[in-house]
Amino acid sequence: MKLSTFVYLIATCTLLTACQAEEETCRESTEVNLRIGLYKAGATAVSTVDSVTVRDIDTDSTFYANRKTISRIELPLDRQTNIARLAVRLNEDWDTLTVIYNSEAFFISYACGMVFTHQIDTVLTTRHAVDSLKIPVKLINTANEQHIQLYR
Amino acid sequence: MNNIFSFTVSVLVMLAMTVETAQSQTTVPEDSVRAPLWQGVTVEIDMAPVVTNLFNDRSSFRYEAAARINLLNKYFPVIEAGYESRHQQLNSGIDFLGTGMFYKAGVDLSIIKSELKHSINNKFLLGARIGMSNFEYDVTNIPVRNAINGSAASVDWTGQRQTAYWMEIVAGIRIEVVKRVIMGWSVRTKNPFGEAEAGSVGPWYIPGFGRAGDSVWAFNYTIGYQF
Repeated sequence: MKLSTFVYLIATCTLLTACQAEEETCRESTEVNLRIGLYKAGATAVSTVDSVTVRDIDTDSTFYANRKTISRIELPLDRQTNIARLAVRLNEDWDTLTVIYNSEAFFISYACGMVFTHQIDTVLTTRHAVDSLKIPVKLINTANEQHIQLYR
Repeated sequence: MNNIFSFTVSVLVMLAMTVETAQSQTTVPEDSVRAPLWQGVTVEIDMAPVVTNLFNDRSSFRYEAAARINLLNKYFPVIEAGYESRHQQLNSGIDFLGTGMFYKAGVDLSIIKSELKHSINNKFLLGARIGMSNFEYDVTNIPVRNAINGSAASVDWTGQRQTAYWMEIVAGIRIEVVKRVIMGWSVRTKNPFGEAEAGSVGPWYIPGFGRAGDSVWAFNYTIGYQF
């Protein structure tokens, strides 16, 4: 083999390998929300509530304003406070739902970046419309799972 | 896709060069003298990064060299070492910088028996390596979305240190182009040992290995001197 041929091959293949694109596309969910299912007492399946309002007591922001016929509530949590005090109205009655949690950084990928996941520590509620609650899943991350079940 | 194309080109060229070498050997009688155990040592430098370094920014470069011992003209214990730095800004906005030494040890086998005294330095080699890299990396500008108000922020993850291990399967050719000057070309597949812990900021790139995660293909174009 001639030296010039070899050099040509080196240059060609070097460029082939050097020009590979570094593409990064995020194909995963980056949504981390607390998901609450609404149940009738004793039921195993969610049931719709005619009217739902959810407000953050500390920031006075409204997540749900008189939303009609819904059976699930999804809320973002603040990683800096580690406590969410929510005013929840199911039809006519108001309850206060307090969620205490820990937050932790979680790196998804180089395409998607980082999110903060939460681990539920304690959930407290008043009992006006709410009868009881369960916490089937304590880890709040990008998985689409129901973390709290509210029974009325 | 580029990897597949590059691999195909590599295989075709390697086959062409092997055929060319074989053709030049057909008319000379066989030499039956048994070779001694020690056949010398070849020191090689990888020329591919010398070219690609010219096209990269100053924070992305690689240098790699190897020493290959020739035993019986059939077995070739190899030690490879290098230093690599890789800087990459990704579409997500993340900025990665990884730098460190890497080492590989293994053995090549000459899988085509040379029938000629004067062509004894032309070889088709098949071998394996164990690779190790001890490196530092910085990951900056990692996007973090504020779930409450939707605003975007970023965090930095700097000063990380890690040691990575992997295995390589290597195929290549070595041709003596001038007396004692050996040119070579290798294609190799690299398979990492272990996986990054979920949720941790692992390296995007491992010096000496390539893109972290799955197995990768790589090519080496070497020039060496046989002592």
